[in-house]
Amino acid sequence: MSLLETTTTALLTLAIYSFLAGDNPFYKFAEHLLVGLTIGYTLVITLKSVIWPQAIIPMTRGEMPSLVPLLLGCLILLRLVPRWAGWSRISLALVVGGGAGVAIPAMLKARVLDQMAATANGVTSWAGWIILIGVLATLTYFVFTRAHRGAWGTSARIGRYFMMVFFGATFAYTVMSRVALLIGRLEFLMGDWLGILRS
Amino acid sequence: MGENLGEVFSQDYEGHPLATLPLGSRIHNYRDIALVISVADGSMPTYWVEYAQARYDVKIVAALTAVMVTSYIPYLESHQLTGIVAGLRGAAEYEQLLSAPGAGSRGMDAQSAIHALIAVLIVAGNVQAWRKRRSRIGGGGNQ
Repeated sequence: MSLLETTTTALLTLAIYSFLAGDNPFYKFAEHLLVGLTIGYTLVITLKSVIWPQAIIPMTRGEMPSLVPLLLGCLILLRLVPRWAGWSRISLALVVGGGAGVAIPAMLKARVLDQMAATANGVTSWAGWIILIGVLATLTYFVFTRAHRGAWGTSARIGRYFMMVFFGATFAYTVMSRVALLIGRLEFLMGDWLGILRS
Repeated sequence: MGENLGEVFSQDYEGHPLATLPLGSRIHNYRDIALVISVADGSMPTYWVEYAQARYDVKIVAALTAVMVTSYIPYLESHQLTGIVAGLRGAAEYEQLLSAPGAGSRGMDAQSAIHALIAVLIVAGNVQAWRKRRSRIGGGGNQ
């Protein structure tokens, strides 16, 4: 990176961190710049890699079927006009219906059936038994149509302990993730920008 | 994509037809891919598991940010993921495995120190809360 790029990046980093001292115009500027750049970048990528090659170019070659997705996309934009907003439902229905058709079988297999099979097949070891007990106990916790008393209540309480372990591990990993981001930024500020740190 | 990559992505970002690229001419669908390595800070590895691994049995390895790790360990345990690089710690472990310590290993020094500090702060916070509660009970208060 050139000195100008490094300095600009460093100043924007400091502008974001200035939020630690409270909301201020520098933070707002950096935040708005990030949102604007992200939207602009996504728009250009979509235009260049999807709409242009997959809709406009085929149409110039006389392939009229490519007009259909373009029209459906335009129908979604009609939500912005209250009088014609109902037309957008056609596109949304297609997106939701098609999306559900593709996603549900895949999700059912990957997130439910394969996970159930792995849980059941894992009981050949102690760890597998612990996982099985944890899954069953956690499931009982989420049954709210039956009072959590007696054996059922004990199972639900064990499930809660399993969830607490999960939340604790997730919190620790979240801390690790945020600290890693901070380390990356400090390395950039003190190394690439100021040259105090050497790699 | 599972049947023919070229039908979904006919060209690269710069407009070169897929078949003219060195990789594009050899890889036609998931069967031609030995391993997918997904370096992600979002839910992309989930999509790889759901659409490539579950349907076409493609091997997936995910390099994740630490905050995502606990959500993906079940996939690792069930062998839906072949491997995980778990955040900065995973990066450091990978560097150690290659005997090439770098930014990951360097970052773990700071990471470990901050984790120790946070552990001390959690213990201190709990001790303080316990003392407060004890003094409240000792003072006769019950709120």
